[in-house]
Formats: sequence, structure tokens, C-alpha cells
Amino acid sequence: MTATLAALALLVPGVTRLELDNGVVVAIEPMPVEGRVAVVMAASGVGETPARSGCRHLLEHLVALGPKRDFDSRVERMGGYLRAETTREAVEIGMDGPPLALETFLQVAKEAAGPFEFTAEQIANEAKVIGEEAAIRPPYTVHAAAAWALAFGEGAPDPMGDASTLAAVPPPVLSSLQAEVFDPRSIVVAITGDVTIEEATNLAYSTLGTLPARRGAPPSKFAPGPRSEVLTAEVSARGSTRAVVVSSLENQATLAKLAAGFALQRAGEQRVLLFTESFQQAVVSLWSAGSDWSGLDTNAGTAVAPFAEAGIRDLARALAPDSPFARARLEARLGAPTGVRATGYLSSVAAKLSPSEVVEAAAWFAEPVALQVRGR
Amino acid sequence: MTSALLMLLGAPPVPLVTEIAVPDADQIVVCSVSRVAEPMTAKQDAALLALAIALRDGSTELSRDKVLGLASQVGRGLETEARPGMLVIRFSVPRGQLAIAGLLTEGLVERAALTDSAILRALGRLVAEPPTALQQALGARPYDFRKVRPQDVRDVYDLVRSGERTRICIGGAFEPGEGLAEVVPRLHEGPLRQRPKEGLPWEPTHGATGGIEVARIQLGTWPRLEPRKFLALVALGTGKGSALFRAWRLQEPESYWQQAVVLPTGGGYSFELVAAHKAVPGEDDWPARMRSALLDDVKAWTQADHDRALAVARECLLGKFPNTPLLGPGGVPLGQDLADRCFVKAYDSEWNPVNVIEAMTNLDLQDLKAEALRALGG
Repeated sequence: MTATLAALALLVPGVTRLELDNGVVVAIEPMPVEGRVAVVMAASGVGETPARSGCRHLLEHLVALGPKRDFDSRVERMGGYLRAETTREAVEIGMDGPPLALETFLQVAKEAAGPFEFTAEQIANEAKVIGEEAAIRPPYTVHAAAAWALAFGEGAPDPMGDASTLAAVPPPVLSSLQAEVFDPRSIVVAITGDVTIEEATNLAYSTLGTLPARRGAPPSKFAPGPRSEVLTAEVSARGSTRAVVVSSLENQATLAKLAAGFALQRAGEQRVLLFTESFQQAVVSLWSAGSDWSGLDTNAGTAVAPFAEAGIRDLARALAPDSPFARARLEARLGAPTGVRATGYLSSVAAKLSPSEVVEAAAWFAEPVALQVRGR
Repeated sequence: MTSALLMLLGAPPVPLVTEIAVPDADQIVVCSVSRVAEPMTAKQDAALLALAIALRDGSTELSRDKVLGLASQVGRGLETEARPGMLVIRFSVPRGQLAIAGLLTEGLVERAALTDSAILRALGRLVAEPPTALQQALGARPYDFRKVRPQDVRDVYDLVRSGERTRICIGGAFEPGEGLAEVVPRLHEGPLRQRPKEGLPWEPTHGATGGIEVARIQLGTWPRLEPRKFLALVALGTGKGSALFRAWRLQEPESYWQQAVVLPTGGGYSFELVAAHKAVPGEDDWPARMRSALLDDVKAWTQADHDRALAVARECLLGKFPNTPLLGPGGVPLGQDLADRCFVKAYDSEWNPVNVIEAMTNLDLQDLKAEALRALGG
């Protein structure tokens, strides 16, 4: 145990980063919350590609159930809850619950890495569920996906997938994909909440540390395609969207545009702000149930000024997640080495934005510079 | 404080106001809950939905931008929501703005502008935009909003604010008694002042369905949260280890989103099991099939199902389970922050989750199965 603790690298105050022998990276952050602990695993061995559109999403559905379909029951019996999500670059499995559940959470995370034995019937059933998921998808997510395609082309498609195509995916293809996605060298696991570093370290080694190491070339990093020349798109989902391309979250201009998005969300009825991100690039999209953007297009400053300060506060709050699960999710998603970004640094930077910066940034959502998506 | 309480006790027509003083808080929250216990007509329900939207257009003294701007300084912004037989208004202002909180309360609860144009815009939105699956689960029932007139909406506003239907809780940064003293004098019962008729044409756009249906099994509505019924509901539909997930997601892959819902409504806590699915013309036996599958599942429950339900129900009542069936304003899971505490206090003065948890721990597997079967009518 002494050797293990000596291997710890404290990169930033409060966040401890471990790299296990098999390549799994673990970020541990004790938080002053009583009675709650969270584990989030992000597996990014393969990003979304047009050739295998939706397959990672299908994999996520089946993996989150567990090989014996008992992950949820095991987690909930401890008072915990399991969530799973597929982004363009990672499959994420997250759990949160009472501290006593930590070992169960890490064991489930380890088992999720597989290998599973999939059957054609399971695949067909889960593809049908994905069809149901697509049917209740809110229109703003469809718009955000179209905005992303405008920004970065079709090289990194929306991970939802088509249910009828997915139903025919052969089991060996899915097994192979699971091995690629969950390559230990591309797994980041964040553990946060009411936990000590020593306890989390021990459990991480005894569970995730037993995943077999892989040889060969490490997984390649996800990279979106080139930017499109087209600035407008039409989709079948209702509403209209204004979107802007931004760079990483550390960039002050990114924060100002996000705050402007929050302010514009408050300035109009039925608007939803979405942040679609990859490791390096992102799109901020603002969806409106209606199509009236006249206030924004004629004078963005006037439209946003009364809400600029509220936008700054919304952003600071969004970047300072106070629940263990939100913190773990952000750390796993951003990569443990950059966990400092989830510890309040960004929210403090955001809080220092001036209303005039926000008012200025609002112009990016106006014609003619904004990416525009319209519902037919 | 004494004078505020005397005013409260001595003036029965005034809505009942309570407060949660948290002097070191950074904000002040006001939550108004108006409950109509008696059944409302479908038209009144529809008018209530329009009212929740039109309220945001300001009061006779405060413009829309003023109301939204003042309520946007801290917190979640202005929330206005209609549920069956119930209207919720909630907002926050920064500490030090107690008078602004009073002004907004008066404007929204007593003196909403409700102009013809604001109401027609609200109705237009309801006609054009199909309810989401969540909104359907929250009780929006199909209605032809084109039959609703502006006066219907104003009548419903008068209805919900009359008698003792409205309960208000003000919480946050003030000394004990100051919240009551600020709000109580601003509330007066009586008919709304006459508004000018604007004579705007009513030209709705076409209706929309959205292609989604929500199958609902209504288990009943009760004035208090009964431990036995709550535990059974969680076992049936909360979490992915529940009977509902097993029956309608794993065994029959018919639905992506399904859950138990405890919806505070005008008539009490409404318990439901809901599942969204793609609309298929002619296929309307979903609830019956769902009920039948659930009955089969309940009969096979084991101690593990009981233990899971108890653990999850406990976390739900402590405000820690993300997928809790208890839904606050906006369909957001009920938590423990000041805004939700104000909502609960305005809605149910006898709310006591600790007592519910204690009573649940005395229930065994047989109790649980019996209650679940009874709830499903089996």
C-alpha cells in the first residue's frame, strides 16, 4: 500500500490522478458532501464515424444493462443510480449513491469494459428501444446535431444512429467494437464525493486495475472533420436555432459566448441552450420554439443587455457543479489531467466576465455570422 | 411579526402565507401554489395552461421585460406552471430586495395584466406546439385550445386566487416575520379590475400531435404521501430495477422512457405510471397491456425487489435520487434547495419525509406485493 500511495501524483489541489498499470486513468476528488459518492467512466477508444454510425450508442445501451442484465438492480439495491450516455468521442457510464456503494460502482465499471457475449435478439430488441428514444428526442437536440454538422462536416456524425440499421448489426461486430471502445488506455474514471483518497485508490486498484492490459498501437484520438462552408441547414424538427463555433472552455471568448447564450435564453420564451463539445472544439446552440429572432438581429446589444448579468451567473453556476456526479462527469469527460477545470476555476473566471463582454458576444448569434438551423 | 400574524389570522380571505427565514441566504424565494380541489372542466384545464404562459407577460404595473428582468437576477428565473387543478408561480430575487419580492408577488398573484394579446399569444403557442412526453405525463390532456377565449383564462385566474386556494411561501434572506410583513399586506381578494377589450382576431395555426403517446396508469390521488403507497409506487416504477423497466423495456422493448410519477396537483398527490412510445394508429390498448405485464411481474417479486425499493424510496425522500418520482415545478425532480423547500411548504404543510421513511421500513415483502397488486387493481 505504501508503494501505491507513493505513486500518487497530486497534479492540482484536491484532485489526485492515478495511472494504473493497464493504462486506465483515475481521478479522485474528495468533496465536502455528506453521504454521496459518484463514479463516472468515459471510454473513448473509438469516436463516432459515418461507417459505424450509431453502433457505439447501441453498444452503450447493452453495456449499461450488464452481461446478466443486473447492473441497475445491483446499483439501486445500494440506493444508487446508473446513467449512460454516448457522445461523439466517448461512451460514458456514471453512477452515484451512498458511499457504501462505491465498491459496487467500481466493480460495475470494470465489468462494463467486457467482454460481453451479445446475441442477435438482444441487438434487435435494443435497436427497437433506440427507435423509441429517437422518437421522443427533443427538437433542440436535432437542431444542435445539424449545427454541429454545419460546423465540422459529416466526419463526426450525431451518435444516435438509425434503429432499423442497428437492428442488423452482427454480434461479432459489436463485440469487436466493445474491445476497441473500452481499451483500458482510453478509459478515464473519476471518483468524487464523500470518499478518502486512500479508500478510492485501494478500490480502483482492486477493480479497474485488474482489467487486462492491451498491446499494439494505442487508440487514436477523435478529431472532427473540416468546417463546412454552408451556414444554414433545414431539419424536420420544429423551431429554429442560432449557433456559434467556439474553442476550448479556457478561452475567454468561449465563456463570453456561452454567457451570451444564457442571457439570450432568458431574454426570450421557450429557448434552450445546448453546448455540444468535443475535446477541443464545441458548438453553442440556442434553440427557439418560434422563429422570431428580430430583436437579436436588429440590435443584439439591446436584446441581451437586461439579461447580461443573469447570463454570467447562469454560466458560473453551470461551470461549478456542486454535486459529486456532475463533478465526476466533467472530470471524466475532460480527462483527469485537466480536472482542475472542474474545481471552480472556470466558474470563477466566468464570474469575472463583464456585462459589456456578454453584450458584445451576443452579436455572434445574430445574422449574418451565426450558423442557422430551421425547422421545416 | 405580531402584526403580520394578526393580519394573517384576522383576514380569512387573504391567501395563507408562510415563511422560511434564512437570514444568511444569498436570495429570497417566493413560491405561490394555488390548488382547486374540486374537478375542473377540460376547458378550465386548458385555460389554466394558457394562464401559466400569459402570466409571464407582466402585471398591470410591471411590463413583461420588467418582470422577467427582476426575476432573472438570481436563481432559476420566473417559473409559472399549470398542473391539473393547480397553478405554481415561483421566482427569486437577490438578498436585500425584499420589497421587490413583494412587488413581484403582488403583480403575479394579484394583478397579472392578462391582456387579450398576451392570452392569444399563449393560446397560439399551445395550439402550435405539441406537448413533450414529460408534459403529457405532467397532466396536459388533449384539448382544442381554439375553443378557449381570453375571458376563460381570466376567469380561471380569478378562480385559483379566490377563497383560500392560494398558499404562498416566502423564504430566504430576511429576519423572522419580515417576509410575512412584506407579502401579506399586498394580497387582496376580489374580482380582477376590468381590462380593456382589444378585439384582436383569433387565428390559430394548425394543431400538432408530435407523434408520441404517453401510456398512463393512474393509481390514485391522495392528500398526503402514504408510506405504503409510495413504497409500492417506487417498486413498480422508479429506477431501472423496477417492474416497469423490466416489463416494458427489457422483456417488451416498447418504450425508451418510462417511470413512476408523484405529481402534486390541486386534488393531492397524484400517483401514476407513465411510458412514452411512438404513436401507432389504432393501437390503443397500451395501458391495459402494461397493467397486465406489471401484475405478472409483481407476483414474482422477491426480497431483492423489496430491498431495492426501500433503498431507492429512502433516497428519493431525502432528495438524493436523480430519478425520483416526486416532481417539483417544471417537472424537475424535487430537491432540497430553498426554492423546493418553499414549494413544498406552500403545497403541503404536513410534509414530513422522515416519518414516511420510518413507516416504510416496517413494511415487508408481502405488504409491498399486496399494496402493489391493490394499486394495479389485481
